[in-house]
Amino acid sequence: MRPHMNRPSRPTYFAPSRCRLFIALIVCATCGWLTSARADVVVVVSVRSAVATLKAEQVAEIFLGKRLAYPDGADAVPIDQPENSIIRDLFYTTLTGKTPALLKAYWSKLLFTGQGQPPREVASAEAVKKLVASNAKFIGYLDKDALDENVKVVFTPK
Amino acid sequence: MHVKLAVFGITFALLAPVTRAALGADMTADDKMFSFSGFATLGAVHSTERNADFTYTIFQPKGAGYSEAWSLAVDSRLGLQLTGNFSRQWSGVLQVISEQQYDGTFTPAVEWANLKYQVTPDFSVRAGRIALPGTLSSDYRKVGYAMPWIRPPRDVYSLSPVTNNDGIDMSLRSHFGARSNTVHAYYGKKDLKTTYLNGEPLRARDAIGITDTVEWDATTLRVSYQQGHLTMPASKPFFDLLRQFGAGGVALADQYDFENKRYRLLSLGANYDPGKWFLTSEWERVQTHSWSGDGTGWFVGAGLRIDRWTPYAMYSRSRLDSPASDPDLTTAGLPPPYAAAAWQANAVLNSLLGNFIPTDRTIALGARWDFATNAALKMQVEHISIGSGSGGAFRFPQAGFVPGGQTNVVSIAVDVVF
Repeated sequence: MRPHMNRPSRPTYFAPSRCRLFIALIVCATCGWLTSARADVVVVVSVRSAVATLKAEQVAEIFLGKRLAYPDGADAVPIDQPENSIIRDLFYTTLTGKTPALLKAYWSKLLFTGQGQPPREVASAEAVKKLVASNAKFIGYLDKDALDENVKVVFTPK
Repeated sequence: MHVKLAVFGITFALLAPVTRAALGADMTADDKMFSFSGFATLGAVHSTERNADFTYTIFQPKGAGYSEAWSLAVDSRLGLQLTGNFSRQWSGVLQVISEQQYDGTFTPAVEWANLKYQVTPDFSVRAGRIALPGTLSSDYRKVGYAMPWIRPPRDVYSLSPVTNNDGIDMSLRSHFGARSNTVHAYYGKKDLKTTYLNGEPLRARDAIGITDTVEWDATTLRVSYQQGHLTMPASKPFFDLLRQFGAGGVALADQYDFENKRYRLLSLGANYDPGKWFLTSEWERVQTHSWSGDGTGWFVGAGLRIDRWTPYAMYSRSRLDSPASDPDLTTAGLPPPYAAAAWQANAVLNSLLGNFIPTDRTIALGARWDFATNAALKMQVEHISIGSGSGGAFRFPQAGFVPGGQTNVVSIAVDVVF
């Protein structure tokens, strides 16, 4: 975007200053959109649960069906957000490195050999919150902004 | 055959969405007692060998090459599963699969039907018809969607073609920080019908096995051992006949007959899958102490995951460790009628030996495209170099078939789960 000294002047619309402003606006808009799209995901259980914190691998194992209980031995039942939701894809990509397709292939292996079933899926974040709050065995993930007094955070992915 | 395939194709096209709509089928578990799910593959295979058929297992009478230029019978199948969650501890699975059987039909067969009791969160027992574990993907080998390639490499997986067992098993998992260890042990029996001798039963008894799987981060390691006894009553008359030819005949019959013969399977597998790419390798050895022979197979496969695409490459080898033919009965010095009979017995024996385990190597290149949420399209090209004298992966040789040599196999498949 260096000024073109030897060229005839172009229409003002393309003037360097206007152009910079335009780009800056696009960049800002994109940043804003990205920030809003990138939810901060947290893992939650009921406030009545005895579980205080979980490690990344424990959360991953619970949601991948490799662990059916919390470290204290109580039943652990994972709850999924709707398929194709941004938060679900973000949660699994961050925690397990698996894309939605890879995750589906993973569950096909377990389901069709009778070794496990994918987490129960509910219709919305609100439904996750309601279910998790209702029973200490449930564990879910939510956008940080969606927290309320009935659930508590046991893990925050970095 | 074509009619059966057409029926299968129509069933495939109609059944999946219809049953899904009717039953609300979904892979996802919910609080309902019963859930319904399924998987299907529609696959076409072409082989450049025109005088024999490329097939995947000893259960398939028809394949690509001689029978058909493009065969839908090698990879196509439909599996439907009903899972019942009766209580916190009790659950059950019923899975029925329609695929090419030993008799060429697509008659549905019960693949699994078992009850599971979850004793503790890490310890469970099952009884009924149960998936046979072994190699890394042996228990889900029929679910095309679950794997990157069209089918698990034939050079390894044809050594242990049996996928289920009627009996009991137990699974015990231990957690060590980020690592987990799963011990899986089983006991049972199985009656098999293969393309040999028109589906005469092959009986596996006292099959006992143990599999240990270690997992941490992106790494999975598995070691597996299985043994049991195999009997094929239909081949007994031939070996009884062979025993008439003196000590030489008795020795040959003892070496190759299929009467309560101990078989052993040992396999080692490693898989590294951090998500963006994967590398997997397996080694397997089988011993049958019978005419079906001993063999070793291994493969290395790797792939890259680029958005919805997974290009991959695989190299595999299989080797027959037992004789492909035998020095045979001596015909010299026998009176002519006996000599003729001995010559015939030799011919029969040599036609059996080396039939089950190929000596070959395969280079496979392919790609998987996850074009929809529950579906993947795959294309794969295999270049097979067959050892001299071996039929390789090719069955039912016709006049003009020359053992050994090079062949190319092209496969296209669509896999779905629902």
